[in-house]
Amino acid sequence: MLQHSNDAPSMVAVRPYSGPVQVGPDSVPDAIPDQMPDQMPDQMPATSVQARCRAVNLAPHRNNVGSTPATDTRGGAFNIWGNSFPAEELPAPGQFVVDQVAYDFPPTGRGTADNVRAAGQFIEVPSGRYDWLYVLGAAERRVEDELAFHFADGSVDFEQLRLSDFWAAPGWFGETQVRATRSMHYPFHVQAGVPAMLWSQRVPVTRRAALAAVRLPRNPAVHLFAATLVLSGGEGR
Amino acid sequence: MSSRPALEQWYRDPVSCLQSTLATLLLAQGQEPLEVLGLGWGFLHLPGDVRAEEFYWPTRTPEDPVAGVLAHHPVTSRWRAADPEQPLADLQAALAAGKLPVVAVDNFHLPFRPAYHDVHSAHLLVISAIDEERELVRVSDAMPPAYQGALSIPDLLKAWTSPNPREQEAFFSGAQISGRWLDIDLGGPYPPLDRGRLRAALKTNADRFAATGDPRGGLAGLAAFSEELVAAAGSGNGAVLEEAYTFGWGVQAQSAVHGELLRDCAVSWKLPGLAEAGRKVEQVAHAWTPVRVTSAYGRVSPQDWIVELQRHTRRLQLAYRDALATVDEALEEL
Repeated sequence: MLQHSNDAPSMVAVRPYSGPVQVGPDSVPDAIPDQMPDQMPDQMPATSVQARCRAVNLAPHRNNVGSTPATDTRGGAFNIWGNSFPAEELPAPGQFVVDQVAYDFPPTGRGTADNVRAAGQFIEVPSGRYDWLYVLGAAERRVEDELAFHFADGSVDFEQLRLSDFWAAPGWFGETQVRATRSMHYPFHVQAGVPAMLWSQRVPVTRRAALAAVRLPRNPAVHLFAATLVLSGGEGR
Repeated sequence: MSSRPALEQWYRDPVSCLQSTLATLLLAQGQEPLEVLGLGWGFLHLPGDVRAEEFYWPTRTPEDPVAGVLAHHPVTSRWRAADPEQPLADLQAALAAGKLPVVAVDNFHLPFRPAYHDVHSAHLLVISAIDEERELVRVSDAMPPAYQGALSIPDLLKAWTSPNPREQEAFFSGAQISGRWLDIDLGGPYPPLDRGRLRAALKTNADRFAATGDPRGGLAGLAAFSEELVAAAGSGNGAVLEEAYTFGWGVQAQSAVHGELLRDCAVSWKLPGLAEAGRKVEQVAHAWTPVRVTSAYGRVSPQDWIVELQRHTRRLQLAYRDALATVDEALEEL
């Protein structure tokens, strides 16, 4: 009889990876909480979270289908292979809190665009003074690229957007791991044991001026599902 | 199966099966993969040489294909082809001699690969045991989802002799597998990496980047590659863009592990300048991402991606120059 499974677990000696996530089926949690431990309500009331956050409206800019249902994986196009996130394992549409930041997560798994593949989009934002731009996303391989903050007074600052790989990879840039899915969707099958990674990352807004818009990198490896600006201390209260 | 103990595996997300299989061999010899795989850093692009294989690596010494991967170590290697009449005989002889043969395979025929019965692509596996009576071999594959265990000999033979046809995959299919296997002698054990050996390697790497004797190598080769890639986009030559994705995997991986090694050494030796140099080298790896991914998407309509390729190849060259300058500064504290 042919054998296609590991001979025995004790025979496998996989050197532990030093990163926060060990790839492979053993790294995938049985249950994925909707909130990370540091976002529990007793640490910051939901009203406080909402008061300090301004969701960036990405809806007009979504241009990529990054998630699919297990029943129809063919329409996914997160990467050049047509891999996609399992929609069943992504956050529900609407408010999703991680890193004490309220994101507006898009509908997924419907065969329509659910994320922004970065192509230099110029995105106007609610005017305000902010400390951070938070993003929920992932990259097709590791990415470090420049985005531009445009301010109401005409000034422009460039900052680095850093996102780790979505394909069975550890977070390389110190992001918060939001999802390590139990499976990866391929165009013609669902692959167990290869996690798709979703990250929460942040970019500093250092200038003390009213922000007007964000220019994304012209980089097709960057994918953003949601973005939220965090007001400077004292604002929004 | 023989009683050979389980093999250790090593993986980083930027590496290909070339580095991950070499890492398995290094671990079996008691070597730390990062300090061996991460010591060399260079650039060589050979137009027309790129083969659609996950393990493609450009070399001026095709008779010794691994020499350029481990440029600072006395490794020797040779591609060999299985005897159609006795395909396993050479592998058994290699195992009996204490070697771990590395076979080229088509993922389409491997039940533990995500591409099984889905996508053809050329990949590498380490063979650690053969049991002809049970029609099994034991294989090690560190690429996700990492696997070590049994593979039926009929499946191995299908994968090992596959024509690897190009059907739905553009980057790693179309190159015949042809029963190839890599016969590698690592030439070790190697002495531990110390400051002196690292300093010598960094100087050699820098000299090779600055050399102008090989127009396809070093910074000159990088400039030529960049110029030709943008020109190919301008002329609508999608084949050149397609090759850039395949070619770029090896050099991107090399930059990633070299940078990580420098940061690891910096922590051990308390050298913050070396840590910063390592981070700059990692930025080179990350600058490869948009060059490769833009090329991959751009192969279908190259002229739509000219501006992106100009931008990303310009930044890639700047990243190399910045990293080399920072490495040079770090040499002072080594």
